[in-house]
Amino acid sequence: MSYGLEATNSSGQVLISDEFKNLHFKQKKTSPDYTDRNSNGLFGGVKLMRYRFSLSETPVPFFHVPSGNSCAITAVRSVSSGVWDVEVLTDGVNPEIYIFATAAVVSSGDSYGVQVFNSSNQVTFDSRAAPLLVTGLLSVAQPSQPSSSYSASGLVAGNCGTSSSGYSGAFTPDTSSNYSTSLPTKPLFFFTSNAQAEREIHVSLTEDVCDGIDLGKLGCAGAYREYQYDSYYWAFYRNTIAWSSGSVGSNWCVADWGCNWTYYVDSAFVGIGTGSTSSSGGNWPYSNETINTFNNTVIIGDASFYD
Amino acid sequence: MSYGFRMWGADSSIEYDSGSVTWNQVDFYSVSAGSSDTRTFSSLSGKEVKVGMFFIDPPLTTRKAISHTATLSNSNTTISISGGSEDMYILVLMR
Repeated sequence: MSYGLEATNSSGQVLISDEFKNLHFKQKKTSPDYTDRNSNGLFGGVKLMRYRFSLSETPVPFFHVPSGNSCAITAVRSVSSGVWDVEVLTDGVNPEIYIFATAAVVSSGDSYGVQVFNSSNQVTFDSRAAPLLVTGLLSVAQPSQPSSSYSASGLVAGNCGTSSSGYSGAFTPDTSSNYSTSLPTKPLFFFTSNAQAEREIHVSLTEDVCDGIDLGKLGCAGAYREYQYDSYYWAFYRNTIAWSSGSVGSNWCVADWGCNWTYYVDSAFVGIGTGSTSSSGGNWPYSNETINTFNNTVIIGDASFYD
Repeated sequence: MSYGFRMWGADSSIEYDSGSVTWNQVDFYSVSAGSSDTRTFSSLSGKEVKVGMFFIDPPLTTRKAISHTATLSNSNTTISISGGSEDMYILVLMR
């Protein structure tokens, strides 16, 4: 470099540079503006919510949740000029959202500190504007399965007859890939959920009804009907993280759930088909697969610096 | 701390501590669904680079939302983004 300032640590890593812009703290919110999905504890806890921020540039969202709770940023949306929604998924808690951006804004009256400018006279670092201090970084993979088992026990085959409270336990996520790391007392995380998974439990039932003379093992003489019931209970998962002392776990959190059913009846008389009817209902996710399963970056900071 | 530097604010709180390794934002941009983007930053040569990506307006379950993938090459100076079915923000960090 021919001008400006570059500070590096003993490992040669760049701490401050005039060539790039540091992230600076902007705003914090402790509760959402909108809650789009809430399972009230079912499926291990599901809360999909939006935090709204007014900011002249694109926000880079970090979060803090209590130890043991799962969380991830699932989307950032531009609502209108200068207004942003940060979409967050947790297992039921409201995370604290910390917004960072490059522009350094300092309250008037704070008249000392260190500023670094680039060749365009833009501030790339300002010690007064709460620059992002990263205390750790991890590359994490998600468990291959959101849950260790998916039991169909007790689920009704006909017309999705089991309520969500009845089948939520079959989809509750219970797997985690854990990574040891040093964490501050109140860790702050940048983690965006890209990996997604959908799992289904198929329950079916076939019933024969003899309207003629039931001949036992010989079958039915006269008219009979054959019923086929199928229900597909499903849950849609997103990759999240949870932390505990000295560890960050990559896990899954349910983001949506539902059931789809089909019904089919085939009628016959003395072995000759006389017609059939069918119907279906419920809702259905896009597909039964796991996607975006590459390693993801977790950036760790100390939330107490910005409280 | 035995070496490095700290900066304190007017209220004596620590504003910056070189012991807390910080990352610098190199670039922040969006890549549209179905398109690709390649950028070169010559000053990243030999530096540690991380790329964070997040969906801009993804569907919940109505369609498959494939993430872009990021590839670093040429000693981390070239960042290529491609393969996604959704618009995504790309955050490039270095240290």
